[in-house]
Amino acid sequence: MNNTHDPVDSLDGPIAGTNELRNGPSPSHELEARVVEALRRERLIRQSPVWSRTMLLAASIALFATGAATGHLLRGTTPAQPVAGSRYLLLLTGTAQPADDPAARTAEYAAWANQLSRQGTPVSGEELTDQAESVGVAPAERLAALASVAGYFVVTAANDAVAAELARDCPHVKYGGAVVVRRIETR
Amino acid sequence: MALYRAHTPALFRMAWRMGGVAEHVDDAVQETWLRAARTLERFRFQSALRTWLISILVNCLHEFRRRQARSLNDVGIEVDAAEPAAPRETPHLQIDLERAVALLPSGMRDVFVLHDVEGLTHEETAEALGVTAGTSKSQLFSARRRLRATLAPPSSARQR
Repeated sequence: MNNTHDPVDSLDGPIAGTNELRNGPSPSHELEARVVEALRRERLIRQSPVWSRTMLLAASIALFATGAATGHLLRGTTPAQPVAGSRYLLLLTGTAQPADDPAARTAEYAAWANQLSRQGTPVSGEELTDQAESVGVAPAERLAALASVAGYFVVTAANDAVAAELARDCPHVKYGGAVVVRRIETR
Repeated sequence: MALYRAHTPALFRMAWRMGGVAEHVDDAVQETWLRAARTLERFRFQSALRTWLISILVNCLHEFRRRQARSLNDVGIEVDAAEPAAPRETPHLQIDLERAVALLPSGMRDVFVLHDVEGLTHEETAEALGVTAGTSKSQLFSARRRLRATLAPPSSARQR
C-alpha cells in the first residue's frame, strides 16, 4: 500500500488508534464445524475419513494448535490472562457413545475447549486415528487400553485437583468415555 | 481447511466491524465460504484470493442488511440500513473509536474498515466493494472526518 501520494491521506491522515481495531473477536471453533458441515452437505468438500473423525474432535480443537502456529493471523484474539501452573495431558479413552450428530458432538467438544480458552486455560489437542502399532513388550490389556485412546488435550491448570475438575467437565465423560489426567513432567 | 484457517480470522473480523448485527457475522462468514466453494472454479486469479473472498463477504453482508431492513420495515419500524442513527443529539459526548466506527454510515464504514483497519489499498477496497477507487477515497475522507468530529473532546468541539 502506498499512501505517500494519496491526496486523501495527505489531507486527512489515519485516525489515531485505528490499528487497535484489528484486535477484534476471533471466529469460534463452532463456526468451523458449521462451515465444514455446510460444505459437506452441498458436497463441496469430500468427507474424508480424516475429516469424519474430525467431527468427533480434532478439527475444531486442533485449531488451538493452529492458532499458535498462525498467530500472526489471529491478531484479533484477546485471550484472558493465562492460567499459571503445570501442564496436564488429558487422555480421552474408554468407549464413548457414537455420535448421532457428529457436527453437534464436535460443537460440544469445541465449546468446552473454547470456554477453557476464554477463561485463560491454554488448550491444545489432537484426535488420534484408530490405527495403533506397538513395539516392545507390555501386558496385552495395557496395550489395548492405550490403543483405545481417541485423542488428547493438553491443558494448563493450577494443580492436580483443578486439572481433574477440568477433566470431569469434558464432554467425553458425559458420553461414557474416560479421561485420564497426567501431569506433564518438567525437569 | 488451510484456506479456511488462513482467511477466516480476518473475514470474521471484517464482518464483525462491517456487519453491525452480531448474529449475522457467523452466517456471513459461512455463506462466504459456501459461495466461494461453489464458484472457486470461476476464480481466475486476476485478483488476490483475499480480495475475492472479501468481495463475497461484502455481498453477503449487504444482503443481510437489506433483509434486516426489510424485516424491520415489515413490523413497522422504519430503518435506513445505510444510515444508522448516530448520536447527533449528544455531539459532545466522547465515545471511543470502536463505537464511532460502528455508527458510521455503511458505505463509509466499509471503506474505513477495509482500508484503514485491514490495510487494503484503495484499489483493493474498490474492487471488494464494487466501487471506483475514487469513491473509496472520498468515502474514506468522509469517514475520517466524521470520526474526528465524533471523537473530538467536548472542549475542542465547543471551540469550533
